[in-house]
Amino acid sequence: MTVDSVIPFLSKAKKEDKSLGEIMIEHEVAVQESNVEIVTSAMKQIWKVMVNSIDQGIKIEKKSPSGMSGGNAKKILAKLKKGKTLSGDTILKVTARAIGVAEYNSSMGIIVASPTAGSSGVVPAVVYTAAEICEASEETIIKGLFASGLIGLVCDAKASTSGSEHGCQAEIGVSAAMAAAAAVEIVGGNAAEAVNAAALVLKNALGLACDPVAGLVEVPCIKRNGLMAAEALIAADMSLSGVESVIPFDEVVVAMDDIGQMMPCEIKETSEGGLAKTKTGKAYKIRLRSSGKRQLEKTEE
Amino acid sequence: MVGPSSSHTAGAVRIGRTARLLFGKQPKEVDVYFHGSFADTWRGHGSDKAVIGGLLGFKTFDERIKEAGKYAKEAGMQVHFMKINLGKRYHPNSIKIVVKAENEDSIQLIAESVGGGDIVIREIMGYKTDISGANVTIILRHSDLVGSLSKITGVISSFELNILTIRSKDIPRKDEALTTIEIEEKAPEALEAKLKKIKGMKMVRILPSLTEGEEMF
Repeated sequence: MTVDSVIPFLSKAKKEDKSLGEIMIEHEVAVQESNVEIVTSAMKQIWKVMVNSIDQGIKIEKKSPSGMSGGNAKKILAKLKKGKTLSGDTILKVTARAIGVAEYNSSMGIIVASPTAGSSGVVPAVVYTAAEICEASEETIIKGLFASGLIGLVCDAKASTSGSEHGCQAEIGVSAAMAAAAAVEIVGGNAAEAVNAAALVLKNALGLACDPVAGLVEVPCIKRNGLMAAEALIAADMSLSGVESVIPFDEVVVAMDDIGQMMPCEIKETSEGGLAKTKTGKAYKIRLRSSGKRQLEKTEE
Repeated sequence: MVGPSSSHTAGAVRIGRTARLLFGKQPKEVDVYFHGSFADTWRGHGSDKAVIGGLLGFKTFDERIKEAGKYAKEAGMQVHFMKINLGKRYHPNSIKIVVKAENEDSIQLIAESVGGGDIVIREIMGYKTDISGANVTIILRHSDLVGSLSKITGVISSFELNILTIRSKDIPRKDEALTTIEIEEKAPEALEAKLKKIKGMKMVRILPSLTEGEEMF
């Protein structure tokens, strides 16, 4: 069954006075012909992998093989310890955690693609940070992750979650939308507020190019994970304070699809435009092609 | 899954594992050819380690992929990486793998990594295929005899298995055909032995669903 709209889920949640995560768990049980125990324990496994990716990521000191990333989560957390920051503890913590996961991803760590490997930092960082603030139970965290799953499914069915198809909006934008919905669920917001938060943050990512330097999932991807995680938390708070997205979520996804179709292929993961084509971007590409111990043995044309 | 890229790392793991499954045992000597964007970005994405991990039978979430080279040595496997230009007909994320072996056992395949870790096997032994690996896939090499196909489908239906797709074609320059069949359910153990008994059957491989047990990661 294709899940291409949040509306049936929203009306069911309203009618039965349930949260988005609860409705989504019921849905998963139905489509998998399974039971609550099994589907939630699978999600617990996923959460374990996510937490581990944060723990590992914020410890990273070494540069990645390309030399373009590594150690930035640690830097932010060190600054936080010293105190006196402009954006505050929560924002910097979520940013550092998301960057940490994305750096761990670049070092071939095990992550949860959410929705993709390149955008894998946002959902864990936001869920972890929201849960920390609310002192949420594991059960609540799992519901949050299920709420995020619905958002991801709709984006995938109505548009795409691939940078090579629809640009970065479809990767980092979707990850932030998923994360914002999860955060609202964790704080105890209702289904409409969760979906509204997703709409708010996804709108802010529309049109985003996928132009990775040297074709690697590092620049701008890693730091973008950090910044978008902060946006997701802000969107959750905005939604909970009653700020409504004028354009409903389903329609924002249609807009993303529309924009994705219009985007030129130079900014769809081909590294033929944007940041990849800057002077510095090109210099990295040339350097990375021939550097390092690992070399291809020969070329067969 | 293991990072950093679902298409250049996780997809590469699955392509490597497909080659191993086709070969049927631990390969000892393998030539790997990177085409298109793999040829440009393999190092930063660890695509080489990913393919080696797959050739060792690892799944996409296996921590050992990072040190795949070490495990390859332990398994006595040599892998050579090369760049190739397969031409424009192939997806920019394509890999060709040749598993070398004595006599007829050598395996050759070309596969694409199409995003999100999903792959499509485009060619086996020079024969065009269209297999995603999401389903259980039966791959058969057999003499090009009249009635072979009906015998094959007869065996499959005797196990009450539902066929999703079936493709069969003569292999150029040999009196041989390659048949690929995707089925809906898990294959019972006895299926392989029964298929092997068919007259003229040279190779039977039953590939499990590549994504099985990996969905949630």
